[in-house]
Amino acid sequence: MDPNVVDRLKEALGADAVSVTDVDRRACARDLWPATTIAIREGDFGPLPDCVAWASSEEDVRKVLAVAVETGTPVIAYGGGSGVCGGTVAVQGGIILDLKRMDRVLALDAVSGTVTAQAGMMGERLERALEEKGFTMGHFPSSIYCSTLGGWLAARSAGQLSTKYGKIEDMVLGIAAVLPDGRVLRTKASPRSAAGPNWTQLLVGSEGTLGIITEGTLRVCPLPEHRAFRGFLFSDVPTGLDSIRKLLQKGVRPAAVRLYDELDTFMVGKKGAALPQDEKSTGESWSHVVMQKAQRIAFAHPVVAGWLAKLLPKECLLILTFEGPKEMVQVEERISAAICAEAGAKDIGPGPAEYWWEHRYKVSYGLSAIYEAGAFADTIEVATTWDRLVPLYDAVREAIGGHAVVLAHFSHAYPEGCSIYFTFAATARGGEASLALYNQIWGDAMAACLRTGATITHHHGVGLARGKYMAEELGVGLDLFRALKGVIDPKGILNPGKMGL
Amino acid sequence: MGATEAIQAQKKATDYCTFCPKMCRFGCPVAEATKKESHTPTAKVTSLRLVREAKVELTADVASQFYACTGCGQSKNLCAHRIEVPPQLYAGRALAVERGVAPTAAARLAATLRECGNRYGPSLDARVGDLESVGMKDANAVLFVGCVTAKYFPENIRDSVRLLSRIGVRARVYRADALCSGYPALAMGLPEEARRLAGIHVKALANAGRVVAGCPACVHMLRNVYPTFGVKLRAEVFHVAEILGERLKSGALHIARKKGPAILYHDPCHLGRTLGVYDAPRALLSRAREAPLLEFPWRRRDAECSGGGGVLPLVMPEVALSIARNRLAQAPSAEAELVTACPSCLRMFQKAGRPARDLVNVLE
Repeated sequence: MDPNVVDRLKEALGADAVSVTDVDRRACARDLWPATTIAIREGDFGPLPDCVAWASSEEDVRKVLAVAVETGTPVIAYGGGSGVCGGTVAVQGGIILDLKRMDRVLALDAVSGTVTAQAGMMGERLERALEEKGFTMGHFPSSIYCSTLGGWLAARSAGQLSTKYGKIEDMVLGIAAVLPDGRVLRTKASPRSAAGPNWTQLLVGSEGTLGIITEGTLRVCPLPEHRAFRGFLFSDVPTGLDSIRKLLQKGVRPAAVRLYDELDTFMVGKKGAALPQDEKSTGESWSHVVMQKAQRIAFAHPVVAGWLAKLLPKECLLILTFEGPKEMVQVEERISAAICAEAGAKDIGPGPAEYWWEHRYKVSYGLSAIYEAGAFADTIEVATTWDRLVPLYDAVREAIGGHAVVLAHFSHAYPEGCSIYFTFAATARGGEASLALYNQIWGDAMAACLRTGATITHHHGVGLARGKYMAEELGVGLDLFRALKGVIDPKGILNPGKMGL
Repeated sequence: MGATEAIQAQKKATDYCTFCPKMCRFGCPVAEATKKESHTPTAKVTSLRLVREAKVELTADVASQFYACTGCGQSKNLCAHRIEVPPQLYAGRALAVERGVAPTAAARLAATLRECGNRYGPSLDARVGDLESVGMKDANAVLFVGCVTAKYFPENIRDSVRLLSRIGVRARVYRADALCSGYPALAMGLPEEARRLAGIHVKALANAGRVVAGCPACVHMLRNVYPTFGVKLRAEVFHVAEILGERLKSGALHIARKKGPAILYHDPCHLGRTLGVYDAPRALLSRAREAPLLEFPWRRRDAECSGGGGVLPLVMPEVALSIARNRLAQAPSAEAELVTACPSCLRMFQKAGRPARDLVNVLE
């Protein structure tokens, strides 16, 4: 990096807004990409940024970009560092541009139902601020405790209630983004527009490669007056999926839709299910210790785990939650229950869905135990239309089941299709072997996904993890993306090395 | 136990925090104030692990990460594993002291505590001497004053003694070879000094019927931490809000409802999350005014720190002040009378420009 950069940044932002200390650089070297977690377990923090700069205003962002353009220094926008694809890793060094000092709600329009907030606001703080005023964004990613609004927008985030409220790209009306030449792209916060291509959507999901998103205007909804929870057991995945499709295509919009495959149903357990005691004898009745031991054996011998999974009861848990005005919720519940009953599903009452709602971020905490045990785990979220969904499910499991224990659930469902959330866990001796196995699993899963014609990511984004699959994913689209990048960011300073650009 | 052993003893917690997807980060008052990624609990504990594994050197910079914590306990509140971050960082601080890379405030505090038994110096001991006359004759209880109260809020001592006398607790003002309970020593990474102070108090309070304190951190030390040092007070230890709340419940304490501004209550971290006392102060304060009690949006288990804990005001005074300002910015009313039950919170609010009163001032 140009040796003058730090001095110039200090001059522009103030000395306390720029750091070159090892502790600050190390803390931003890593996001929540499991490859970085595997590395840090070995004490390796990977490539370090040269410095960290904190912007407190749009003007600060412009100043940082001006220095970066002039000196050809990479700039990586940084929010909560909660990405799981290495999107903020400073592969070429440069400046981490931390936006968390831009953390205010700028306006809440109760009439239109919109909020305008700065990009650096932590998700949970934004949601709590809205709830105090009687609103919700309805956006509950499992990263809500550690991610920012800017990160949500930059990586096309999805929350757990996306079926009702949509993904972040469905909620956003307008944004402000600073471009490398100092201009600010400020898109109008209008409900819809026909004024040519949608420039908001162009920046959403660009992961800091086209501009630095500094604020967004998003839809908010009144806090739901009523919530309802339902649980059903299906005999297999295809039957469960068919019921989800039918109820969505009929116009029902549950808040959460989650269908767990047999192994995931076993792992999740049917806590709170309205079942006779002898029918509850799955995961939950195992003691915690036995469960942990079983998991360790499973990580070490995924093929064995695969055989064992075949012995599991043929049952897949579907949980549905509904929210809104009571009358509407009751109608949605009734229609959904009828569709599930018609498919032969067993109604097991509200317990499992209530339990999930109360513990909806629990899975994230579970990662610590897996990594502490020397194993690793990750999730792969892909999506496709209903006609290809079961083939996609089979293909990915087939591709990686030999190396890892694979569970899957289907959430983020739409009338046209659904996302599959694969969770895999595996183990290998030492950091190097773990990383090699990790990369192999990813490669095999992505290849299976592309073969099936599914999209390679539903909401985790691309970052470093998926860069090499972007050519096949986008085709000509990647050429256009590169061309556009060349126009907006001719010096290539914005988050270089990411998204396969 | 030396610092290295103390770090090793918390190995599993440290590993869990290192591998955690930052689930408590939004609640960390220091990270919220500085917006530094290095101040998130995950980053602070990751550095501790790297030091433990000898992957990075314990420099003054790394040590400064360990000192960026108020010990507020919000991290445990947000953790599904109920992991405590402060004890890990306090062990890291002790290692920093051992290796001579701790902030200069550590050596200063160590010297003052050793010489004077309190964190402010010789004049404070004299002041407590003057206050001894405030105490009751024929005492059946001891009022453990604490350094911050003695230094900045001596009126709380008078008010506490008077209030306690109304429920039959005749308290004398406690004075021994030390005033400090050892909390700042422990938090500064001076565990041996904390042990020394614990020894003094356990001996001096051997015959105390009952110990009452107005400082939640002192209660935590006397009640919860001393036993981990292998010494234990025979007397029961109460925070003043606990004992008054109990008597209010049983009908032994009557509080006259007065006109006046509405009260806004701030939960001190150690009184709430550490000692689990949420209802007693609310019950007491609701009786004190005709206007309904006001609440912060983040309250009880979720209450945000005032910035006064974990010796942060000694090592990073500006950050501590920002935390206090952040807390005050959340206040739902500018006119309400801000009340709390911890001298460190009172001090932080005073510094941040919105003076608050202690519960004992209001009830008196």
